Amino acid sequence: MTHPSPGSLLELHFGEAPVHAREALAVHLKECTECASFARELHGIERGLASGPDDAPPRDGLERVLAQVTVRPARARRAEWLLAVVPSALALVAGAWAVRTGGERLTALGLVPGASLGIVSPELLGLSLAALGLVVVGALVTLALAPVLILESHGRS
Amino acid sequence: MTTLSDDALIAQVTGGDADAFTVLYRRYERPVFAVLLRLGGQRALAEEWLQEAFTRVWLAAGSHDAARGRVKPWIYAIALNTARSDLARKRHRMPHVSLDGAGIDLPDAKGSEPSLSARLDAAKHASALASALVELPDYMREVVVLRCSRELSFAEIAEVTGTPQGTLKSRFHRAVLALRARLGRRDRGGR
Repeated sequence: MTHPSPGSLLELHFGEAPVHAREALAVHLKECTECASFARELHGIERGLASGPDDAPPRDGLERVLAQVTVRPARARRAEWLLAVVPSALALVAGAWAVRTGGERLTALGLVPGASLGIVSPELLGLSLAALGLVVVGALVTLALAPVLILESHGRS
Repeated sequence: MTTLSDDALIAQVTGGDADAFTVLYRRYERPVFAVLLRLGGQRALAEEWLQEAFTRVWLAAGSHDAARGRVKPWIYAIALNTARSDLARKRHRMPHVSLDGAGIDLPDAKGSEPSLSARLDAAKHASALASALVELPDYMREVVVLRCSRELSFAEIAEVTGTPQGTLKSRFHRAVLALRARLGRRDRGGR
């Protein structure tokens, strides 16, 4: 006996077989125990996977998705990016301006001999002043936090 | 709005229309969730995937090209890829969800090998099948779950998975044989 391909049996089961082939396949299934067994198992698998009482989707599923997409809507992502970049760029420009102005003032005061002679540029002087300021602020913060950190490490041990 | 086509809804979702998205979500949440539940075998996992998949639908709505395919297979492809990515990341199998209650009523087996229905009583069949299903390789489980959902034809599953129909049918056939063997072993072990 010539058997139809498993693909043909699958097509018949799921209603995808061509109309002209359906009758011949149905006749074969009546006569062939092997193919009939395969068809029964297909039926069993499909019934076993049929919807059950646990299949209901979560009631708040839509709300959860909407909450997520409205927090980060697709079109807003570019705006968020700009919100981070624009203030950073402005701060950078302001910092550069402060460094240059500070350097020029120091040069004008004549406190640094090399600056008044043109050996040290105002920009370099401003940067040095900014770096010095950073070191001083860092040292003060460290000194202020030191007691807290020491007490915390003692508490852990 | 509920009568609008999927394509029309997606076009509105692209413009940020939450009402259109709601209609689309309601249209597909149940069948997509059923598929995800059977792919993952665990309700909590399927809920997580459903949320992630529809979030991606919202975010990617603008990239859907109607000329390249319909919305339904596109949504299923997103859901399937969500499940695949997560499974690949976790690299472990989940315990199956109980499908008790989905009874069966099959004719008696006449072949040389007893049928599934003859080996298992109706109450345990669905549960045993779900357990056996999650043990199958992903590519086999996917085609069985997607086709048995009756939501997608083999042609549409080919579109979703990017796999030729002939290969899908071959995988389905091998999955049936594998399930038969696994359920047979389980049954013999239970006696």
